[in-house]
Amino acid sequence: MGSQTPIFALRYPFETETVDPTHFKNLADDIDAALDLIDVRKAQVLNKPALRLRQETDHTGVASGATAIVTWDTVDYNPNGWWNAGAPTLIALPAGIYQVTVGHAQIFGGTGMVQSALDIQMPSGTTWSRKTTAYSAGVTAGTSHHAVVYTATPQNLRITWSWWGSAGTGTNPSTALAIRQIKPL
Amino acid sequence: MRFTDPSALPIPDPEDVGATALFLQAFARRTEEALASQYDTLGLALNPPMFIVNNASVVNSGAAVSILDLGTFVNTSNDIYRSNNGTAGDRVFMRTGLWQVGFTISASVTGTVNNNTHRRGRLSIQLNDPVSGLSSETEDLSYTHTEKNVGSATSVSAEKLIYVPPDSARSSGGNYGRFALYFNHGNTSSTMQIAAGGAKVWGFWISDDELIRSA
Repeated sequence: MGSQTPIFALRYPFETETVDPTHFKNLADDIDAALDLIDVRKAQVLNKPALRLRQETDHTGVASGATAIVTWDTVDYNPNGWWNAGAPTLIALPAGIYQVTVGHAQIFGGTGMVQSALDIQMPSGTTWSRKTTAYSAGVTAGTSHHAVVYTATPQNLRITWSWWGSAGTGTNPSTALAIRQIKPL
Repeated sequence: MRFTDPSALPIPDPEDVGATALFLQAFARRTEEALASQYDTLGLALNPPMFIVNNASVVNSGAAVSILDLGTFVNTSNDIYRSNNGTAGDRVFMRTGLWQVGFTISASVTGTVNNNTHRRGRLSIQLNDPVSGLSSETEDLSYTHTEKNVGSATSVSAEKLIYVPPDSARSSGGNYGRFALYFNHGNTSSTMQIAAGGAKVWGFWISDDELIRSA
C-alpha cells in the first residue's frame, strides 16, 4: 500500500494507514538508493575521462613540407586506456566531444625555416584543425594548438607536425598532448 | 511541524504524533526535491550545454568574407552538434555563466601566393537581450598569421573565456548569442578558399554565475 515519489520512488504511507517500522525502513532504504545514484553521478563529474601524453624522443629527418606523425612515448595520465603502446601514434576516443591541447617548444634543424604547423587529425589522416606559426628565417619556434573536436562514433585521433624552409631536415625534440572529455555521446 | 535549514525537511512536533503518515509523506516529497536538485546540478556538469557549427559549403574569399552568421546565414551553416540551444539555424541560447568559445579556419590559396601577407580570422559574439532586443555585450577574438610563401593550407584559431549575463528580465536563465565568423587576407594575386567544414565555431558552458550550495 502507500505511494511513492515520482523521481526517486521514495515510498511513503497513505494518510489513512497505520504507520509501523516497515514504513520508516522502506523510506530509509529508498533514500539510500537515491544517494547511491547521486554518488555515481558525482564520481562521473569529478573523474571526467582525460589523457596526457608526451613525445620525448627526438623526431628527426623530416623534410620541408613533409607531414610527420607524432609517436607518443611517455604516459603521464591514461586511466581510460585511450592510448596503448601497440599503436603509439593513435588515441582511440569514444564517441563524444573533447577539448584537445597540443604543443611543442620548437622545431629546428632545417635551413631557412619560416613556418611550422601542428595538426589535430580526426579521423586519423584527416585534418580537423591546423595551427600554423610563421617566423623569421633562421629563428626557430614552436606551436601550441587548442581545439574542440567532435565524433559521433569511436574514432582515432593523431597529431602531425610540419615545417617549411629552404633545405635540410627538421627535428621535433618534444611534444605534449592533453585531451579532456567535455561530454560523452 | 518545523523544518530543517537549509533543506526545509519537515520535523514533527509533539502534536503531530497522530499524523505520522502525513508527516512521512511530506518528508518523502521534500527529501526528493532536495535530492533531485543535487542530481540535476550534477547532470549539468556532466553534460554541459554546448554547440559546434561549421560551414557546409565552400567559401571563396576575394579579400574579406563573413563565413558564419548564425543570425542571418550569409553562408549555409551546418550544425555539427548543438544542445539546449534553441532553434537550430537561429541564435544560440547560452545559459548564464562562464563559457569557453573558439574558432578555427583553414584556408588555401587558389593561385599565386604572396609572401608576407596576412591571414586573419575573427569571431564576433553579440549577446542580445531578448527583452529589449538590444545588444548587451559584444566579445571579439581574433588571430593573425603571416604567410611565408610556402603555399600550404593556412590555419588561424583562437579561443576565449566569456561571461554570459542573464537577460534583463532574469526570466530565461541565459541570453542569446549571435556569432559572426570572419576571414580576411592580403593575398592580392589570387583568392583563398575555405573547404566545406574548414571553418568551425564552438562553445561550451563551464559554470554558473552563482555559488551552488553544496550538499
